[in-house]
Amino acid sequence: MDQPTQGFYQELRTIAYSLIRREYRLHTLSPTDLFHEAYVRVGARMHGLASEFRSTKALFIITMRRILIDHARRRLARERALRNCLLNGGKFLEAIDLCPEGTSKASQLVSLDEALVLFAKEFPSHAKVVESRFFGGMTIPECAEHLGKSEATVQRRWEFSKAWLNAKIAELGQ
Amino acid sequence: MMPTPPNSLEDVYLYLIGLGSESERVQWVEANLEDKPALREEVLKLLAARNIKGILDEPDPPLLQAGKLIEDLSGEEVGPYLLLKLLGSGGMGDVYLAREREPVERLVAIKLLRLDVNIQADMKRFLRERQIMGGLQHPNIAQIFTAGSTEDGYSYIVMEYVEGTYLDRFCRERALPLRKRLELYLQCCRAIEHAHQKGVIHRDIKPSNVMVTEIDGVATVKVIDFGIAKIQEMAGEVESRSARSSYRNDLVRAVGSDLITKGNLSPGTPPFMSPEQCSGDPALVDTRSDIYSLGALLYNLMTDRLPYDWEERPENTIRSFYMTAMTSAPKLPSRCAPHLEGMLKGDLDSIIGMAMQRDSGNRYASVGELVSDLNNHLEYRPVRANPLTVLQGGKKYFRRHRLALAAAGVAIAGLLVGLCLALVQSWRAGESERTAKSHAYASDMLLANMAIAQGDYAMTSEILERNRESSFVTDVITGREIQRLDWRLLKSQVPDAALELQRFEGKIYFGMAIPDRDELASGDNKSFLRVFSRLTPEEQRLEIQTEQKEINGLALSPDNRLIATAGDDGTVKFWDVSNGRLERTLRVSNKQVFQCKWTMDGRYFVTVANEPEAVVWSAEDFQIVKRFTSNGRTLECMDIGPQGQVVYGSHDGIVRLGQVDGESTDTQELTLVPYRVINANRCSTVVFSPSGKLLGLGFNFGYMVLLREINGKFEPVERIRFPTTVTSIAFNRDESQAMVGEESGRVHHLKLRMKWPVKSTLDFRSNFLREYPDFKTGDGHDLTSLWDIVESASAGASRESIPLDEDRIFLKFSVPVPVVQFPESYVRTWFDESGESPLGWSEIPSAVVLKNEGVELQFANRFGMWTDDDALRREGRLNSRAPHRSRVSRVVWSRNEESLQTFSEEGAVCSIDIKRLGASAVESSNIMQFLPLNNGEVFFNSHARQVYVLLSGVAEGPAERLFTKGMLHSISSDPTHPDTVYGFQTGDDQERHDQERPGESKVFRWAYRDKEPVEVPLPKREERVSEFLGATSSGRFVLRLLTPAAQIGNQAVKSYLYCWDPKEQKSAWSVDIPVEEVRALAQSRGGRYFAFALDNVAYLLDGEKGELHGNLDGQSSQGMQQHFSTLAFSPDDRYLAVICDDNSLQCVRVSDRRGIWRMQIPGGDALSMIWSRDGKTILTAARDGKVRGIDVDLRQVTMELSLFDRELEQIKISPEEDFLYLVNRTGFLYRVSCGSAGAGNGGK
Repeated sequence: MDQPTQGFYQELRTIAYSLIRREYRLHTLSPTDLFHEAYVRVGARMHGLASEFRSTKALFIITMRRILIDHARRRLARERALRNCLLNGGKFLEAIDLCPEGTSKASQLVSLDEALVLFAKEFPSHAKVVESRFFGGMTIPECAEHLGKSEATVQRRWEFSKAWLNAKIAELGQ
Repeated sequence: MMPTPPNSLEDVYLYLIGLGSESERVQWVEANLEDKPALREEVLKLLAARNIKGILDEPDPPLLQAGKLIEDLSGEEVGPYLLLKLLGSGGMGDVYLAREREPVERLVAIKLLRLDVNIQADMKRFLRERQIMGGLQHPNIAQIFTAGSTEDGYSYIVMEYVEGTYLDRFCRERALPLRKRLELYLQCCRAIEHAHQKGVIHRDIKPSNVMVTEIDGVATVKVIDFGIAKIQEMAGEVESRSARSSYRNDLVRAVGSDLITKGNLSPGTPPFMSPEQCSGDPALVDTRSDIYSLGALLYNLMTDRLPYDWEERPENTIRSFYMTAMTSAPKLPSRCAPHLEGMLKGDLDSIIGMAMQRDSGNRYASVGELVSDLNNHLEYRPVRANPLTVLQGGKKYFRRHRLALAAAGVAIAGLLVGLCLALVQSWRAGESERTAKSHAYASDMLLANMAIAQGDYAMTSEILERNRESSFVTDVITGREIQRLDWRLLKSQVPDAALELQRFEGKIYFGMAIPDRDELASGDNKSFLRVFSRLTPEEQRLEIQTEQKEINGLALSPDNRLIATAGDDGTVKFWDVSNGRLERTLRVSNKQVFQCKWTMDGRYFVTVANEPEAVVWSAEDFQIVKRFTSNGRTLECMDIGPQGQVVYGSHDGIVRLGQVDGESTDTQELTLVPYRVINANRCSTVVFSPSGKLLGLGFNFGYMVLLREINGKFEPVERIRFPTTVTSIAFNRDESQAMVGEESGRVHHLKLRMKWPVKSTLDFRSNFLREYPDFKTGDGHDLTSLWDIVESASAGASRESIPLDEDRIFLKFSVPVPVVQFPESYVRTWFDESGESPLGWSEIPSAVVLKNEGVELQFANRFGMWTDDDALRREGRLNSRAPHRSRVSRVVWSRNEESLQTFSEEGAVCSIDIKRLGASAVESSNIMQFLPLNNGEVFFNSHARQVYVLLSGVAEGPAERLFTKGMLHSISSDPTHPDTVYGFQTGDDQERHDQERPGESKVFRWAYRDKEPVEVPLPKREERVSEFLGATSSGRFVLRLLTPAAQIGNQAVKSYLYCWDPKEQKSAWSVDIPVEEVRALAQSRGGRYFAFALDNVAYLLDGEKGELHGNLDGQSSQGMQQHFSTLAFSPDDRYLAVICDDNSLQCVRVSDRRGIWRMQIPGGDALSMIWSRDGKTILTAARDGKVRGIDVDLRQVTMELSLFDRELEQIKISPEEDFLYLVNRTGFLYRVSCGSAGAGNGGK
């Protein structure tokens, strides 16, 4: 494995480890499955030398995005359930602590995904940078390597994308 | 420094934020973007939002983000509860505050658990049975209200919500004085005491399980989580037992080697876990384990520290704790802080010390004793705890007590500890690099072994690969290079991965094979029909959006021209297989169509929809021909047999059979309400076998029934319970095997019985009657059968037959019969419809209970009714795999039947190799002796049928019966011709009629593949040839002679060893030996030496010279009587390994009989062993069902394979070491593939 990938995978491993320490209990998609899904698609194929390396990374990123947003949506649904509970009164309200609507990580993620879809229509290659950085967890140099661009270009694109998306997310929130 | 004016949004924006001040920006915008209003607007928007800190500004690693999203399930509904807030997490469960609505709105605490499906069902019962639910009522115990599981797979336990603080924090935050802490602690003790009295062990006592809450202003202790640890442990057991065949630990695989050493074996926080809990053996955990934890808790409360100064860090795991605990002692409580010295020194030190004794026998026997000692202390009375029994430590303890630990069955953790200690010691002694290398290899084998136990096959492969080169050694016998046996054995334990062929979006609800094209087709919930090649799955030949909302079923027309898709929109559409064109749309119903199929003759087409009927259409013009009803219940599954039968199953569990052609709509109803299940279960799948004579039915909850057509009707012949709903069944062409797919994603390969038991009888074993010829019946006749003296029997049992279902039979005898309590006296035989009892169809009772002046025989009833997947696996008829994580929609045999394709709801299509993995049962007819030959063949003699058969070939064909002239007393191999076998028969073994005198002993010789044995003449002597020890390499026989029967009485019996040369017909030597029975016989590979035990002395015999040596050095060093379990020679004939019944292994040099080294084997008694050809590994088979590999260089156990649950009695290996054979206590013969020893250097 080349150097950038080493780092990438090292990170995955560390995170995965920190996740399993908590041993989540979701039946449908625990982080175990999460990682496994991603790893199986990417990792297993990596062992098969036929596949081109770049595309497996891309696959991983897309996978992560799907999985992450999927979970964000579910979490959002749960948050809504709690909000409903609050709205409908009943006892024990103090027990529930909820951040204001639209501020939770989950809703931010969902908004990000929506914004990103719009973004990709206008700025497809920028969207790729965002995907790699955000969903692939890559550093700027890693992105540059993955996308075949210079670091400066990636940096510029990232800055711009952030701004555009943040603005869009705020807009969507209204 | 901007050469050209930027004009893209991006360039503009980036330029602008590079400017220093706001005013500059505004200026620039005004100046340059006036004529581009759209762009200007965009830019301004961006600038305005610039300072918003969004989610992109802090990109956490994606997995971490995902984890955070999942970790808190607040807002989720679990059963009737709504989770409100995550209270805490740890171990295997998270605790939530939840709201219960009915009957009263209140707050409860819910612990969510991740449990194996098996456990879910049992959990509620377990909790109730053990009175944890409702039974444990005590003011200091947080009540458990109920437990349950949801369809999504959550298991939960609903408990009393205790609002308060953990005990340790409570004490710390308020800086409570010692006495106050003790008072709270005593409340905790009272809770535990109450629980113990009710028979409940907590198992996980620690500060975070002891809450302090204020009730009416008084600080009250509430102990929580009773017995939860046990559930988790059970789940852990189930998981680890199935770890081999399931891919549970995917993450472990992915993360890699770090994890194995960091992994946790069982729940609990290390410093509070008693040593026996750490060891992982659940049998050792009892109330005294709780007392240890109470001691540790007290330690913590008194000193505000954890025993051993433990810290919660990733690298500190139970394993490392165990090592620490075993080799050192925690600091005395009184020494933990200066201010404590006065108060704690003495009494409290002793009390804590006694509670925390490593050996549970030395602890307080009950909580009551602990409490009374504490009270003594509080009231200044003398304390029971002995100041001398204060916490011990040191390596000496471990060494001295290693035997005790070994006897206690310390699990692999113990192995690691032992190995580590050995490594530590040897490194200290500054050993050579070569030894260091063997240490490295050995510890790697151990790690690989642990990885297998965890199901981490990727890691195992990795470790094995990196040791590939080191695994090649020189074969002692031939001098060639071969691969070490331990390496090969571990490698063979790694199953071939299921190859994922394809993964689609969408849930696959149905799949099938298109045999003539070697293609597969799948239909999913997005209404896609896909056709792709089995061999090159990436090329999807067809992807058709059928627009039927969801595809539930597929069918292939008998001429292979059309594919029919049954859809949710109520239609069946017909597509041309070659080009995917839609040929016809058939509206079947308004509701979903579930299944459709053609009859084999192509004349009819049958559909089953969300309606209570199955409709038969004519295949040419699709007119409805007739309908079959199902009494108003929805039909879900259907199949058509080769003779035009249709079978369909409905939601109430009733399965109906009808005939498609003809006018009749009559059906045969098969009400197969699974035994002991009250409510009928949904029928989820029905499948005909290729011949139409077998029918497989799958139901909810894992019930599967196999029926066979007997005289025109289908009768159940086998009933199996799997862990989850059986969703798919597929028979192979010759109907010898079936594949079963489950809801959980597991897939099983089942060997079907070729014959079906229809009758069963019970009698005494014929040997038994011969052994007791003096028995008579009540009126003085000779006993010919059990039934001659049975006065009454239960359950309708009689001489003619006993009911197939019965596993317990009570017999009352009319005459007192000796030794009737031994199971070996009886035999139960099953017969198939032809009236024959096939090989292996007999059973000895698993237990005989004397009661009510009679005996009750208990049988495992292997041929009776319900059995489960575990039992089948033990029998060797079932192999399982878990290629998917959600419902297996379909399993399909490949055309050449070498692989299986599975379709799953998770959208994946996998291909699994059918080849055997792990161990497979070869023969199950109460094997007595066996001898492996090459080519996968085994020569054996069997208890039940007393015949000698040769099992041919690797593909497990039926055993061939070779010898029909009675029994054989022993079989041994010819050292110079590995495929030649000698069989020895004493006079008693020959079949004879009652009055005949016993004949003479005979020796038979089979050369490879001879159909008939050749009798080799024995010396004509007065004495009886009682045993045949073996043939030496020069072809001479070593026999044992005894005084002939006629002469016994006046004189002492004489016995001696006698060497006979059959070619020259004369003797070579003879040697006197004592009279006892020869046990544990071993012959060296070269054939020259023999070793055996006579009572408590082991002998070494030089077969050529006739020299006999007893009292091998090293064996009686303890001065005790030794009994020998087994002996084995090293491959170069220079050493002899001896295992005694204290489970010690010694190595003795043959030339001078001096003991060289000695070690203790952990675990169950080793009853048999082999020494590998490479000389590096000794494999033992033990009473605990484990095969252990001992590295000879290191004298350490480095391998422990749990292949079975039954006691293993014999282990042997084929001459070329490609197969390992094991026989267990009930006489099953198993074969384990070892891979080939190979030649060549360092190759693949």
